[in-house]
Amino acid sequence: MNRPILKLDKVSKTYPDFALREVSFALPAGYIMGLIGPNGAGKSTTIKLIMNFFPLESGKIEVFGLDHCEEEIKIKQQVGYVGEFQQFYGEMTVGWLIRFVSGFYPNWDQQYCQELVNRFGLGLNKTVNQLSKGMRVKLALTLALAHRPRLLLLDEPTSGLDPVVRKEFLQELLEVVQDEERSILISSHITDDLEKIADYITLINQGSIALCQPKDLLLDSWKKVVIKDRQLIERLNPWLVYREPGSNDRVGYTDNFPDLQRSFALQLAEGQIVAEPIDLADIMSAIAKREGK
Amino acid sequence: MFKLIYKDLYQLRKSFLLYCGVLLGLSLLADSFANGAFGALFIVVAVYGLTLRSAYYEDKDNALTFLRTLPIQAKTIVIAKYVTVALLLSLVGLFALAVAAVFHLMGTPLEADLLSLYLWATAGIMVLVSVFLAVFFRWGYNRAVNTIRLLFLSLFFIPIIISRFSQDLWPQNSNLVETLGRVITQPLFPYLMASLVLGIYLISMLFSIRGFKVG
Repeated sequence: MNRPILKLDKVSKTYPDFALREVSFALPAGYIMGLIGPNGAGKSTTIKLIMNFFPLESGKIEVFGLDHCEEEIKIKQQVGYVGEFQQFYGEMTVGWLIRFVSGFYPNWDQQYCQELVNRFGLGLNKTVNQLSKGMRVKLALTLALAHRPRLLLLDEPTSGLDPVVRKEFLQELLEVVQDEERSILISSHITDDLEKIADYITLINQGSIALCQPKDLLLDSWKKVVIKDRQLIERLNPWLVYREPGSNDRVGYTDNFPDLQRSFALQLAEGQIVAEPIDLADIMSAIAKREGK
Repeated sequence: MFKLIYKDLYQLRKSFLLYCGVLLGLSLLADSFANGAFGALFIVVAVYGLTLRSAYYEDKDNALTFLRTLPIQAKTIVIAKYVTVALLLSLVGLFALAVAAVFHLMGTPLEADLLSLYLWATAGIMVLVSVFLAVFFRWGYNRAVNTIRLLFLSLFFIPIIISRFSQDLWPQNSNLVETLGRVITQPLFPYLMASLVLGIYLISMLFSIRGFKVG
C-alpha cells in the first residue's frame, strides 16, 4: 500500500444511543474503498467525522497527511462530498449554485464543470426544486468533481436512484480514478455496486470495524461451506465464523478459505465439502448475524 | 465570508423589497404612518422577519450542512450570518429614516424625538435577534422560533401579571421607576445602551460559534 490519502486512527464518538469505537483504516491514493454495514452501523457518522461536521471524542483523522481539524480548509479544497440527501438551496438555480460553490475552490475547473453539466443534461436555469432525485445527485456530483478533488467522500449517494442513473454514476466514478491519483471512499447499502467498483472493503458493524481488506482477497477468503459429510461438522468448526440456523449445522461461512482448502483438500475434491462463492451482502449478513445484529 | 453575506442578501432581495414597499405604501396612505414613528415598528418587524426568513432558508434545505461540505470554517458561517443581520438592520434603519425624511420634506411633521425612538427599536431588535440566532445555531430553527414566541409572551404577560398581583407593592416600587427614569435621561445612557446591546450581540455570536452543530 502506498502512502494513504486518508487515515483514521482509533476514531471514537459517543452518542446517547450509539457509539463509534476506535475506528481505524487507511485508504491509499488511486483506490476506491467501499464502506458497508447494516443501518445505524456508523458509516455516515464516520464520513461526517472525516468532513469535520462534528468534533472527535478521541483518535485522529489525517487527510493528505494533514490533520482534518487544523487544516480543514486546505483539505476541503481538495475533497468532493456527495451525501445521501442533496442539501442545496432549493429556490436557487443550478447556474447560481455552481457560481456560488465555484467561488470557494481556487482550483475550480469551469471547463470541466461545463462538460459535466452538458453530459448530465443539467439545465442551468432550472431551480434545484425543479430537479428530480437523479438530477440532484448529478448536480451534487458535478459540484463535487468540478474542482478535481483528490479525494471523493460519498455517503450513500446512489440510494433512491433508478438503475440507469446508478450505472451512469458508477461509470463516472470509475473515470475519476483513472489517473490513479484520486481516491474514493463510498458508503452504500447496495453492495452490488461496490463489488463492481471498489478495491477495498471496510465493514462497520455496531460502531466498530469488523473487517478492512482488499475486495478480491475478501471474496477469495470468504466462502459459503456446505458440509455433506456429517462427521466433518466438528472438525470444520475452527474455520467457520457463522452457521446458518436450520441447516443442521451443515451450512456455514468461512473467512479463511485458503487455509480450509489446504486442510481439507481431499474432502473438497471428493465433494464431502462444497465451497460456494459469496458476495459482499452475504459477508455483511454473516458478520452481522454472528455479532448479534 | 463576503460570498456568504452576498448569498444571504441575494436570497432575501424579494422579502426586503416587500417590506420596504409596505412601509412606503402605508406612508403614502396615511399621515400617521408617514410621521416616522411607524418606522420604529417597521425596523423591528422587518429585521426580525428578514432574519427569520434567512434562517428558514438554511433550515428548509438543511443548507448549513451543505455549507459545511464546502471549504468554509464553521465560525465563518456563523459570523457571516451575524454580519448579514447587522447589515440588514443598517439598511432597514436607513430606509426608514429616508422615508421619514422624504415625507418631512413633503410637509408631514415628524414625530418628536424620532431618532431616540429608532435607537430603542434598534436596541430591542438586536437583543431579539441575538437570542434567536444563538438558539438557531445551537438547537435549530424550530426551537429558535418557539423561544422568541415565549419571549414575546413573557414580555407581554409578565408585566401584566406582576402589576395585577402586586398592586399593593406598586407605590414602593415607584422609587425604582423614578430611578430608572433618571438613568434613562442621563446623557451617557445611549452609549451605555449601545455598548450593552453590542455586548449581547457579540456574546450571542460567540455562543453560536461554540454551539454550532450540523449533520
